[in-house]
Amino acid sequence: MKYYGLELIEQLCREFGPSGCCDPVREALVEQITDAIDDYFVDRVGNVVAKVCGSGEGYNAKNPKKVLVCTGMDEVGMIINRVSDKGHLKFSLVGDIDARCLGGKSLLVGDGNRAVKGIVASKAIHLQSPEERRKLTPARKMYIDIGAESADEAKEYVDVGSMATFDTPFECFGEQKAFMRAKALESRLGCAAIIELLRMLKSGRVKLPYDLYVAFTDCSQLTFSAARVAAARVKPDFAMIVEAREALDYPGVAESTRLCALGQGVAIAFADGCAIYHKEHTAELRACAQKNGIAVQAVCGTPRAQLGGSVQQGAHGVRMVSLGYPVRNLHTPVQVAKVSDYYAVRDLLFSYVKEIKE
Amino acid sequence: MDLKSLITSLCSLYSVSGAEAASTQGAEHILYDLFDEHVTDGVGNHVFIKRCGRKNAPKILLDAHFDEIGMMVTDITEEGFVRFTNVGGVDTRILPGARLIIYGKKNVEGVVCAMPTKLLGGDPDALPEIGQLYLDTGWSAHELKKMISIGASIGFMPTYTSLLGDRIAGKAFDDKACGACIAHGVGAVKAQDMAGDVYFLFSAGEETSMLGALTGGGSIAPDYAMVIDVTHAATPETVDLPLASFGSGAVLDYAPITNRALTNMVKTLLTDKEIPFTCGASGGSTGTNANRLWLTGDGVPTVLVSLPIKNMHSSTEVLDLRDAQAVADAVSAFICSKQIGEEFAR
Repeated sequence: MKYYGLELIEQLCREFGPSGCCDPVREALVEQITDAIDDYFVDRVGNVVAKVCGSGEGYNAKNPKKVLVCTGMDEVGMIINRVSDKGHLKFSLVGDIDARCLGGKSLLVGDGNRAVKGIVASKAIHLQSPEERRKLTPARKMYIDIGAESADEAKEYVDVGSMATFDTPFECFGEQKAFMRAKALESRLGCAAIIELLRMLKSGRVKLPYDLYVAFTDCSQLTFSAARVAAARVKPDFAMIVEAREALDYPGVAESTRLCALGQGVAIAFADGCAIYHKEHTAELRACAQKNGIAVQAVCGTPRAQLGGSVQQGAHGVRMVSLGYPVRNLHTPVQVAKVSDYYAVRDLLFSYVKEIKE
Repeated sequence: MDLKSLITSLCSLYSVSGAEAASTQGAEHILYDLFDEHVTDGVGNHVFIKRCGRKNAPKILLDAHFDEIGMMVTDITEEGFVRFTNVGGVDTRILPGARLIIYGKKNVEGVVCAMPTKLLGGDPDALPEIGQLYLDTGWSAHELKKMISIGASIGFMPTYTSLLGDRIAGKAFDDKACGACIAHGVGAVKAQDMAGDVYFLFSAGEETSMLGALTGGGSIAPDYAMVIDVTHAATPETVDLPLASFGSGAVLDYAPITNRALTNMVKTLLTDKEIPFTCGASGGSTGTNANRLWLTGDGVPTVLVSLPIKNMHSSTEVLDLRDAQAVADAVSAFICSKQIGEEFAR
């Protein structure tokens, strides 16, 4: 079943895919792109890499140039590290989750094939000491309640090594339903934008003067991102990184510390925690946006990020640009993004790939 | 309606303390078939009455509180974010990243911003105070102000999840789940089998002032009463506390303010009927409407029964349907006990 637009985002967000446990996401991605590509493979670390062969004017069939568009596919979550005698699950965090947002949240716990519902237990306020009420409970002291009464009952469904994701439905909300809230927007918005890019190239019969590779990569929420392997294998001449950028545009936050803001369009970074983006190409990208009437904003500051750095290191310091989409509450159970920013990213990708003259 | 559906449909109703009247129709829609009459009063109480059919029959009061903890709008920022304060003992720790509904002319959904600590300043282990939190609504201030105003109530999104076994998770089991147990227990018996007329006081304002029990008890003037509220179930963090475990049934509470003779009779009744229960005890305040009810009118002999739940006052409270069934069965047995009726009728 093919999905389009917001429905595509909803379906992708729904899939269970914490870092390293992404089978359902991989299957969904392959199903959605299969008609729009020439070839694909799943590499040995779980990345889905697809290829659209070039054919346009200036295409060198013997030694084609290669452009890589890369995004993550995995989401933050938890990994079960102990099942107590009473059937409660202790866990470690997977990805950059702030433990403040865990208490009382609904989860799915499983291995990708089947999942049970659970919640992060939180001691009742009446039973908390005054100090506990003021101080963060670290994740190692929390546990997941799936309703099991014993270790044996719990182990019929989960075990040490099982993983958990947030169980938050995708919903549009706010004025003209212009905002989206869901789990996993951190990677699935990028996946959706790239899927739509491939379909737009196909339906527009666009001929590119280079081979276009797209990589949906695993473990993008970790310091050790699998994108490095995809980049090393593709060996691109140029790369575009599509990823979430933390938007700190909450009331009272100075513009200088906001990084980026919802509704302002594609968030273009000049550098992030591990990568430096190419200055001239970034200027080109911004000019392309302007020419096509697509909103862009500069990311002010250097956000934490792994994906770009992994690609750059995997592909021998390849020249790259960053196309970010702003997300509030990044890496939490309810991430918030704006629909118009998503379309800006998708449209800028489509406009820019047609301009690249590699 | 089965007990589980009764629980989730009643608990889904919006009834943040002070705004109980907003769900009058909702409560009536769900409960009217099970009772003969429904009356409301000025403080937001709902009283559902089932008559036994005999004249001058004793009045048996069953109390569960209709209100739930929540929040209230204190400010609408120029960016269209909403600031809020608590109504009752909301657990601020579970708010960042929570989905809430503001109840206004039109209901507005929002997400509590999970702001990184660096923006909150100070200690990295500190938790934000409720006054530091913002609700992200996705509306401009101008449009927002047409739908909601300062003082509007805010509640948790009503979503319910089935966990393994007989457990369910969701908001406001405190205390509408007990109201569901009462309705289910009353609905399960024939009117002529009851020891008197049953007044189900689905009371307002327990979480803030226990006002509903005070006024409701006074105007009903029952012969005797059973108060049913939630209590904490045993969890790994509470091993040193004497709390009931899930699956152990209803909790029959002893307290200085409740009637010991009545409590003893209920204990015998539950034992005879083989309804699972354990006993609990509290020294001073019970933290329930029993604190108020026993002192209304010329005094009301009161017994306190509790339903154990986990994560009380959060958006994901958890209960065990086996315990809820035991509470419902205790209600049925209680209102049909001729022995208790004879002993405590005025």
